[in-house]
Amino acid sequence: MDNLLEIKNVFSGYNKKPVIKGISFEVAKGEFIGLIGPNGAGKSTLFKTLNGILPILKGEVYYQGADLTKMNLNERARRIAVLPQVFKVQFSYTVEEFIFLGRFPYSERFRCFSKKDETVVCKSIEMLSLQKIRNRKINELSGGELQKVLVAQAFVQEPELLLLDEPTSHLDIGGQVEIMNTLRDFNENGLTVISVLHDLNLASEYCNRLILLNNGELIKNGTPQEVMDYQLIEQVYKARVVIKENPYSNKPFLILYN
Amino acid sequence: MEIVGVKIKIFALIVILIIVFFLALKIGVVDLSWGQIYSAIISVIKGVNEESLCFSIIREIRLPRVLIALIVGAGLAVSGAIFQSVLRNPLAEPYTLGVSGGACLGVALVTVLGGYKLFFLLPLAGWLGAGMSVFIVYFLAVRRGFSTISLILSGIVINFLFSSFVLILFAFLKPSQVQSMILWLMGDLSGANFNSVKIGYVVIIPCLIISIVFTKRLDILGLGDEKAYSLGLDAKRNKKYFYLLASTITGTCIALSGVIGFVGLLIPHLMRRFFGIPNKMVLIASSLAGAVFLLLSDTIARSIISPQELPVGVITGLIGGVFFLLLLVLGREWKIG
Repeated sequence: MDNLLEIKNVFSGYNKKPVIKGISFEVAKGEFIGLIGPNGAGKSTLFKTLNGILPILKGEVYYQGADLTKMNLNERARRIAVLPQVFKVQFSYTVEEFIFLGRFPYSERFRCFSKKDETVVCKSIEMLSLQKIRNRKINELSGGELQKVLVAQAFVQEPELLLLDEPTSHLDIGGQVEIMNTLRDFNENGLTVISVLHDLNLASEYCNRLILLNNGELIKNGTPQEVMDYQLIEQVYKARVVIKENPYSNKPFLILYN
Repeated sequence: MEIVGVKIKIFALIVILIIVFFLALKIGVVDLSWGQIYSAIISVIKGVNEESLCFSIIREIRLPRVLIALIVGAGLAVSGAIFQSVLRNPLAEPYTLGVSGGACLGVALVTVLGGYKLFFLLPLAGWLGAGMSVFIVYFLAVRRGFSTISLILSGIVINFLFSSFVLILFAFLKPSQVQSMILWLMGDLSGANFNSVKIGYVVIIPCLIISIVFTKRLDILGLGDEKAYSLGLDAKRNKKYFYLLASTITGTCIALSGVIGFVGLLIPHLMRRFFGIPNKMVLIASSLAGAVFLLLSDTIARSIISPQELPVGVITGLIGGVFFLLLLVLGREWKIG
């Protein structure tokens, strides 16, 4: 398989103090990867590092063989779309206007949006079933609707890689499944997805590979069956768990007990 | 939004602007007929000097004042819209970042030193003071990663600090000097002449054009740094550009007219209601509406207790205050942002 992303011995953090320490892994095209780990494990720090917000203190990140840190921001935005964990709505765009902003990496200075932009935005609205709310203000949407709109905006960037930081937080189980199904559909159509996930069962159910972090270090990198090991999970999360197999998907799932 | 609807609204604003422009030329202590105004304007355009009183009133007093009101109104409204996007705060205004504090300090210093006798020194001091606070706030914010919080905090700190210095300087002023300074601080367009008009248009018009050309970047900055980076925009660098651009506009406006509040807050807010959130139309409409608003306010200010004048900032403050009061009372229908 071709590697899309190579992360080699990366150290990164805030104010030159490393939070993630020496993390290495590779991401192949078409993978759906879940970044898991307890609070403070370094998931969001790694995410912000890949997004270019935090500097790499040591190590390298390659995207299709090219140094990601040296890639032009616009070029990068055409390849990698990012959904941050927190998005505060300050200006009440309509859903459609907001999704159009995702076409910024393709925009020309003196031109309004092109026919291609309109086509991509319409397709994205259809794919995420946002037709009914396309003219609503985004500050009037529910958490689930807003998350879908954010995914739609990322989708119109036409990326090869989608990075998400806890896309299902604050959503009810219906909303969680809807977002994850959408991501799986995108993934099946060739989009590579890396998502930070708190819910281990969701991660196990939807991702074909899990990367477990703790204290800024990579603890385990493998299939859900390999990573969802009760001893490993108990050791990292300091909680007692039972791991079973979902009879429908044959994926491992976790039950907490006291 | 429908393009036809937007065009009609912009056309309506232009028509209103033209009507207010001519009304402002007509209204004043000396009553002029439309014919006199028309012939005076034609003479001004042709560069012909006439001896008549009517020509002198238009050429020396009303036209420069009207032109300054237009450009300052447009400038303050657009710089307000820019600051609101850059700071991601619909309640930011051109003076949020300490610009007015610096301008006041500059003017107070010159007044204390006796420089108020030279007509050009007060605006120059205002501009230099505004520039000084812009750069102090800029460097303080840069040390903290040029985040929105660091900008606002630095702005508030500098504004308080400079305002305190101004109050100290007040102790050294004569009562008449205090009065003239207070007038200037509340906004005063009475000193307008064709030299100040030239400065205003040469500095502010290019800034307005640049901000409208790069308006998409402003939209992206309004989404926050993290989202901006993911969409391919270097948020930090672009925030600096827009900050300096809007500060240049604000500093120039202060130098030309003193400190006039509420235009940069009220107008972009209203225009977002009528033109939606994307900044392109908000900036274009704000420049037109800001010009109309300030010109109208100034016309009211100089005619309501004629032959005396009120500072224009009093009128913009009253209108803006009543508007936001209504906003608070009406609440749900008029959300901010």
